[in-house]
Amino acid sequence: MTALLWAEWKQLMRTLRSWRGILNLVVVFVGAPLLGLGLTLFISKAASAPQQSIARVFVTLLLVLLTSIPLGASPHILAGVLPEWAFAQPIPARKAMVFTWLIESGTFVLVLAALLSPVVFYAALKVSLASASTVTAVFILNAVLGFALLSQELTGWKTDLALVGKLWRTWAKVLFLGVIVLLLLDVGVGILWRLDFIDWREFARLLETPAGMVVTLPVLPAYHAVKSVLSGFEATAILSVAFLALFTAIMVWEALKVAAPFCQAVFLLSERQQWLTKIGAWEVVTQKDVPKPVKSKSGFGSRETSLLWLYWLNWKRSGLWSGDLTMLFLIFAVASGVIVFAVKSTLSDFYEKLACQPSLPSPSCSHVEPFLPPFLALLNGSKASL
Amino acid sequence: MLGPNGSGETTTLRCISGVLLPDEGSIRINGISVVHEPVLAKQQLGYLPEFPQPLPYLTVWEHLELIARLRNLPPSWRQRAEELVARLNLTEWRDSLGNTLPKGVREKTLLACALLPEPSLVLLDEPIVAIDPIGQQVVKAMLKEWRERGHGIVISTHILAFAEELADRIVVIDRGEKIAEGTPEALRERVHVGTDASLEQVFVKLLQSG
Repeated sequence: MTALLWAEWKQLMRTLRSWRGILNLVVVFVGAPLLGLGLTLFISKAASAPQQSIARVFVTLLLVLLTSIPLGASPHILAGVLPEWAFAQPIPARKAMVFTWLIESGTFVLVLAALLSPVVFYAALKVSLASASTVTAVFILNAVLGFALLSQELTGWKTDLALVGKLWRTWAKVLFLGVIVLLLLDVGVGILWRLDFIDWREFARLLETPAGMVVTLPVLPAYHAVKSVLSGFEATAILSVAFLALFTAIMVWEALKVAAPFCQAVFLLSERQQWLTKIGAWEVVTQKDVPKPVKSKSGFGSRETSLLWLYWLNWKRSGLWSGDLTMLFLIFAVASGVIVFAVKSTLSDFYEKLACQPSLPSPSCSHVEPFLPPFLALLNGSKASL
Repeated sequence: MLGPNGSGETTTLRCISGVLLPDEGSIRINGISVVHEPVLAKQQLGYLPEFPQPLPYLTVWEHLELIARLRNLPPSWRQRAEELVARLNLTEWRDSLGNTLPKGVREKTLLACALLPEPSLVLLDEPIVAIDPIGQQVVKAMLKEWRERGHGIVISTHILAFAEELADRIVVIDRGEKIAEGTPEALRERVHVGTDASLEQVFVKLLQSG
């Protein structure tokens, strides 16, 4: 395994040194700087804003999503790292599997760190050691748990506690999807109609009710860990991490029962193909052309337009369009939404302060603040009674 | 191993190399089961796949070093690697990255990787398709020497002259089934053609009758 790590490290260093590698990184992560900028503006604002500001809650949710991503580990990330001749080398399947996992998780950690570190520096967040350790612990536990669940999933959920694992996996996926849909809806509505579709403060308050905590259990440790970074360390963070650690330990114990076939599945092309085909992901992983016959079409126009036509047909038939469009939509929608919100909330703060200056008396300054808590209490009360 | 396109030669080689698991039957290399003891079995073989894909950011020499590390070869591997590089005319490409190599050089690089540990069995999937005529001569000479030293070689190819020149035994497969096996002479007798008939004629007749 050290030989493979040596080779991968050399490859990575050379990729980063070559112009083409840098260009690829820029193209692939074109949205990352935008997202980073938006988050920076947001967190800068959130760090100085009062407790539970919309920006702070919004950022918390985004970070929770990022921290929990390893939970959603899919077989896609475990395929295609080594070329065929390397699989024919006498490498034990377990070592190769761990190597593959390390490479993919490491890449993800690097991308995440690259995305978040400027945010932390620019926002001059005073992150305590306890908070940083909590977030790191949750990230690692989520990665290990995601991997344990993946091994159970790929080997057909055959262990004693398979049902619990399956439920957790599905639950996490539904929550992920729900948060992404909410974020996109909010961003979309915000951009199109300049409205706050969701009151994120209210949303966060609902999350922290007992019912909310039960519903969001799989991402709860990540939520409290991120919250401890932004709002100060609390005992809830330790409790939720302890819970996650216990659950992860149980699931790892279960996963060890199917470790051998899982390693085989990751290592052997045939096994991977079988399982990936079963879950409908083989074509995506290998980017194979769909084998069904395609109706041939004639080209048109000049040489240049024919090239365009060729590119269009290739893009359409190769299936790249679905991934391209989804990524473009996610990156640009979220990034632009975050920036729009950041600018909007900064401006509204600015006008609010301007209006509250002694030379420009405004009734809203004295009336709005006392009005909010009873109004929210009323809302909570009516929700509780429902 | 000969057969029409898509008849299963590559799949067979992948099964022997342990990359794919066979649906049924058993594969043993020097008595070691590829399915049950894959690591031990893979130590006995070298494999050149149909599509030679070197790692894009490793040089030719580093590929050989990687193989030496993966297989814990003794330090003398360097001398052997130098010989292979010189023999396969890879000297000028020695420090070139995998993604800059022409196809023929890629094949030669991975062929050197397959031969470096001196395995008792070498699996070659269409090994000379992209190699220039001089390179082909070198590869043929190397494989003949390899065979004379008692090592096994399994080759899948569509170049029948190449097969005829090297093979002690020929297996013809079609649609996943073996339809003929034997020495070139035995196959000629089987389809009732003269001793001067080419392997191409034999192959076509076998497929038509099979």
